[in-house]
Amino acid sequence: MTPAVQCHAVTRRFRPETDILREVSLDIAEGEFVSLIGASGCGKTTLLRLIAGLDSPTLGTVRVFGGTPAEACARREVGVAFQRPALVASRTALGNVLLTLEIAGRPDVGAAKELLGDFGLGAALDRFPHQLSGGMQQRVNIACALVHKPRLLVLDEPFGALDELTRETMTEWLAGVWERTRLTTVLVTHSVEEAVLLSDRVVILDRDPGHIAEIVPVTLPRPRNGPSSSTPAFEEAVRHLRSRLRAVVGKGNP
Amino acid sequence: MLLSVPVVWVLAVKFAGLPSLTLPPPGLVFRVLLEERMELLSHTAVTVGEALLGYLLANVLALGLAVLIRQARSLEAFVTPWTVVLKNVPFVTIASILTITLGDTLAPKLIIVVLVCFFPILANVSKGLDAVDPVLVDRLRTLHASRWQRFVKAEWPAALPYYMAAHEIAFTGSILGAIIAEWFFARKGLGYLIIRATTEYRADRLYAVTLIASVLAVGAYALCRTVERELLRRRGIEPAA
Ligand SMILES: Nc1ncnc2c1ncn2[C@@H]1O[C@H](COP(=O)(O)OP(=O)(O)OP(=O)(O)O)[C@@H](O)[C@H]1O
Ligand SMILES: [Mg+2]
Repeated sequence: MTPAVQCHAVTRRFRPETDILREVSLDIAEGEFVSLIGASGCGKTTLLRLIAGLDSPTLGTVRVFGGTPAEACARREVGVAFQRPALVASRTALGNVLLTLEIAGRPDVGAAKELLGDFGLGAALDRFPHQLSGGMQQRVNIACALVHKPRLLVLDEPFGALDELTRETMTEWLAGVWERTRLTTVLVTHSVEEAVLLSDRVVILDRDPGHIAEIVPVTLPRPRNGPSSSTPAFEEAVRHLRSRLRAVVGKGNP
Repeated sequence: MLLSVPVVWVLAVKFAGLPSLTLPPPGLVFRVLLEERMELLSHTAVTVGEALLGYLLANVLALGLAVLIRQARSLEAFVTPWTVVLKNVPFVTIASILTITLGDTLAPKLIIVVLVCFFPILANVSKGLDAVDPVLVDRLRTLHASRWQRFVKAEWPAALPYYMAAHEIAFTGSILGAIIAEWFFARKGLGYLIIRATTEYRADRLYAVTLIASVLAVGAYALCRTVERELLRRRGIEPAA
C-alpha cells in the first residue's frame, strides 16, 4: 500500500545557502499518528506546511495519498489546525464549522451540530469565538478541521497556547477523538507526554539544517487516554523519549 | 445632553450682550426656519442629493479599487502615488479649478464629494482586507477555497468593521463636501444659501443654515453609529454605551 504521506529528500530553502530543511525523507502510513518534536526553529512548521500544500519544497517531493498535496486539498482530504485558532470573529461556533463545509461544497448543518455536540460544545453552538475559552476555541478549530471528514489531519501545536491543566485535558480529549477516527495524523508538539500519549511514532528533528535525527516508535497499547497514562510503562516511554530528545537537542548546548 | 447647545446659546445671547448680527437669539433663527421652511427644504434636498450621490459613487470606486489592489498587488505601486497626490492637494483648490472648468453643473459637486469620501473608505477597506487572519487564509487554502470564497468568507468579514468606521468620516464628509462645492459656484443648495445670506448680512439665515447642516452631519454620524452597533451586536459584542 502506498503511504498516506511520502516526503522524499525534501529540502526547503528560504534564502540562498540556508536550508531550513535538508533531505528530509519520511513516510507516514494510512491511519498512523506521527508527532514531530524538536527545538524551536528546527523546521517543524515548515515541514507541516509542505505536507499541507501551503508551501512547496525547493528540492525533493511531497506526495499525499499518491498525488501532490494540492490535489489532496482539492479533493478535500486535508484538515489543518494551528496553534492559534483560525476562527471568523463574526461567525458563531456552528457558523465557523459550517464555513469548512460551505467551502467543501456540502453544507450540512446536522453534521456540524453533531460534531460540535461530540466535542462537548452542544451548548455553545451559538456563541461567538470571543465568548469561548481558549480550550473551547481550539475544540471548535479542530472541529473545523475534521467536519469535512478529511483523510489526513495536520496539527501544529494545537494546545501550545493553553494552560497546563487545559492542555492535559485537551490532549486526553484528542486521544479519545483519534481512537474513534484513526485518522492519519501529523502533529507538531513540544510536549513529550503529549507525543507519547498520541503517537505511533515520534520524529525527532534537529536543526541547522533541519533534518530527522531519530524516529522513536511508541508501542504502548491503545487506548492510552485515561488511567493508562500513569502506568509505569507510560512513564517509561516518556522517560525514553525525553532522553532521546535530550541527546539530540542538548548535544550542541550543554 | 441634547439641550446643552440651545441652553448655552440662549445664555450667551442674554449675558454676553452680543449683537444679533454676531449671534442672533434662537427665537429669530427658529422663525427663519419656520417661515422659510419650503425654500430651506428645497435647498437642503439639493445638497443632500448631491452628498448621497457622491457618497455612493465614492463607495463604489473606493471599494472596487481596494478589492482590485488586493487581488493584483502590482496595481498598488501604480495607484499609491496618485492617491497620495490627490489626497494632499487642498481640495479647495481642486474645487476652484472644477468650478471654472465645469461650471454650475452636478459634476464638480459630485467630484468634490467623491474626493472627500473616497480616501477614508479606500484606506480603511484596504487596511481591513489586510487585517484578515493569515492562519485562517491558510486553512481555507487547504480546503481549496477559490479566491472569491476567500474574499467573501474571510477577507470581507475582516474588513467590514474598518469599512463601517470609514463611514463615520465619509458620510459626514459628504455633506461638508457638497456644501463647499456649492459655496464656490451654484444657484441651489445650502452652500449657495450661505453665500447669499453672507452678502445680504442675514445672520439669522446663516445660523439657520448652519443649524440644518449640523443636524444633517450629526444625523449622518448617528446613523453610522447605529448601524455599526447593530453589526457588533450581531457578532455578539455588546457595544459600550
Ligand atoms: N517564510 C519564511 N521565510 C524565511 N524564513 C522562514 C520562513 N518560514 C520559516 N522560516 C525560518 O525557518 C526556520 C524554521 O521555522 P519553523 O517555523 O519551521 O520552525 P519550528 O520548528 O516550527 O519552530 P517553533 O517550534 O518555534 O514553532 C526558522 O528559522 C524561521 O525563521
Ligand atoms: Mg512552529
